[in-house]
Amino acid sequence: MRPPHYQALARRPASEPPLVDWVEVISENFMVAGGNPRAVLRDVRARMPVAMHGVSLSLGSVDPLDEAYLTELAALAREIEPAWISDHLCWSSFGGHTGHDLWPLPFTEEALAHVAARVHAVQERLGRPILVENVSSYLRFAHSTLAEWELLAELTARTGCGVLLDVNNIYVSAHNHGFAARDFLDGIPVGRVGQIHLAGHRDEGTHLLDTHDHPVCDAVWDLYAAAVERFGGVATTIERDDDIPPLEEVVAEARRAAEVERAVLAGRARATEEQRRVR
Amino acid sequence: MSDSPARSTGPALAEVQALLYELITAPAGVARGLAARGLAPATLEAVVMGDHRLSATARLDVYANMYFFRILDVLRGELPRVRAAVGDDAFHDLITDYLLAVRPAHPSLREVGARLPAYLGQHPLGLERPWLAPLARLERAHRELFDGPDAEPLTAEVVSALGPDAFVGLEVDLAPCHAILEHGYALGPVWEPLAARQAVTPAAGPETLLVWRQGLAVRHRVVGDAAERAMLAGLATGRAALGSLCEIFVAAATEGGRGGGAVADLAAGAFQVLARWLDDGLLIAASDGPAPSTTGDGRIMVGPWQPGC
Repeated sequence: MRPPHYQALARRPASEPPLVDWVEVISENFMVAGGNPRAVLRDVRARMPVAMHGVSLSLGSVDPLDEAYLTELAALAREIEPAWISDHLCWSSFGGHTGHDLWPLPFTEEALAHVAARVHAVQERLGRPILVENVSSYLRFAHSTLAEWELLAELTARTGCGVLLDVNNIYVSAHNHGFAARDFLDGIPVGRVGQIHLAGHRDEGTHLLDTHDHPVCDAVWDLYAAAVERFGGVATTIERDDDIPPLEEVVAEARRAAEVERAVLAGRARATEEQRRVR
Repeated sequence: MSDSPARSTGPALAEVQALLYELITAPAGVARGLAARGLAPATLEAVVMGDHRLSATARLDVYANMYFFRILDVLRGELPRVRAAVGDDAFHDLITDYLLAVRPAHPSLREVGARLPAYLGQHPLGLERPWLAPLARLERAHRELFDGPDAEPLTAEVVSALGPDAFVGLEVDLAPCHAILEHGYALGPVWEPLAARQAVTPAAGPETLLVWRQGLAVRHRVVGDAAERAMLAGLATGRAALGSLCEIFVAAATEGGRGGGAVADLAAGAFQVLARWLDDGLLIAASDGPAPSTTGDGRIMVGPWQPGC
C-alpha cells in the first residue's frame, strides 16, 4: 500500500467490494504519531487484513538490535494485529548509523549464527514468528561458504521463522551472480514460505537493479510459476515503490498472479489425479 | 545444508561491515574512499568478488550510489523550496556535506532531514543566505506535522455554549501538532513563489509563523498581530484559562500607553483571535499531559510530540 493508493483503498465506499483481499504496508511509514498515514491504516485495517513489512530491523548488523525501534514496531503490531510481520536478510546499520538500504551479508556460519540469534530475540519481543526475505544483491563475498538459500533454509530450521520469498530478488541476484534461480527455489523447504513478493527491475547492462519501478517481467512470471509449483498457493504481493501506477494497474498484476497460481495448481492437481489413476 | 558446513577463513562479520560501511558512505565513491584510507583495491577484492562484468569496486559503488541518491531524493522532496533557492548542484553538494557531518541514525527515512535546518545555519550556503535555515525549518515543520499526533480540537459550538464563568475558567492548550517559528525574514510572502521555482529573496525583518495541522492538512500563517503573539506565548509555557488569554490580549493591546480602544473593542479583539483559533482547530481542552517544551531553535512545541532532532 503506497501513498498514491491511500485514497482508493481507504476511502472506498463500504458498499463497493474491496479491490484487493489484503495489503502489505511498510511498517516504518506508519510508525508515526498520527495524521493521514495512521488514519489510512486504521481505515484499511478495518476493511481487510494487513501484513507489516519492515526495512529497518537490520537483522544482520553487528550493532545491537535497536530497542526503541522494536518497541515501536511491537506497539504498531499490537494496534494493527497484522496477519504477519516481515523484514529482510540483510544489514542496514553500522556504528549506530543507518544506511536506509538492504546491504548483503556474507553467507557464512558466523553470519547464520548471528542472524539466528537476532531473529530469536525479535520473535520473542514480538511474540510471534516473523518472515525473513531474501534481498537482491550486487556483490558476493569471497569468503561465503554457503549458498544464500542454504543459509535461509537453516535459519528457518534454527529459529522457526518463515520465508518471504522475493521471486524478483532471486531472479536479479541469479543474473548478477550467475547461479540458477531454480536452485534457490529448490533449496527452500516446502512449507516455510509464508509470502511471495513480485516486482520489476531494471537492466543496467552490467547488472540488474531491483528498482520496483516496472511491471513484473515475463522471466519473473515464469519463475513465479515454478515457485507456485514447488510451494503451492502462497499469499503474493506486487511491490511498486517508484513510478507508482494507478492502483488498477497493480491490481491487474495481482490478478495475473492469482491466475498463474490457479493454472499451476490446477495442472498439479490434474497430474496428481493422473498418477493416482495409473497406480 | 551439508552436515558439516565449511568454516569460513575470511574476515569476521564486524570487519566486513566496518569496511563496507566506510566505503559505501564515502563522499566521492568507493575508489576514492579506498585511496583516502590508504587501501589498495586488492583489499576490497579480497572480500568482495568482482568479475568480467563489474569489478569489486564497481559492485560496491552500486550500493554507494543507492545510499546517497535515496537520501538525496527524500530531501529533495522534503525541501523543494530550499532546493529551488540554491539550485540542484548546490543542493546536491549541501546534502553530501550534511551526510558527512550528520550521519543518519534513525531507522526511518522521515527523520533523515531532521537536523538539516540547524546544519544549514552553519554551512557556507546558510551563512551566505541566512534565510535558508529558517526556510528549511519551515519546510521541515510541514513534514513533521504531517504525521504528528492527533488531537480532538475544541469547537466553536462547544465554547459558545458555555456560560460566562465557565468560559473564563475553561483551561485550554494548543493542539500538540503545531510549531511556532520565529526568525528574521519574511518567509510567508516567498513560500508560494519559491514553490514555483521563482528567484525571490525574503525581506529582512522579524516574522512569527504559526504552523499546524488541521485535520489532515498542514497549514501555516504569519502571526502579524502583537496581541495574538502574546496570547500564543501565554500558551507556549503551558495551559491557560480563556479568561487569562483575554487578559494577555488586553495587556498586549494596551502596552506602552497604546489606547487599544474601548473595553468592548478589546474584548471583541480577544474573542476574534479565539474564534479564529477555534476555526483553525488549534485549541484543545487542557489535560494533565506532559509538560510543554522548547526546542531551542526557534520552535516551541507544546504537548507530547517531540520533533526529530
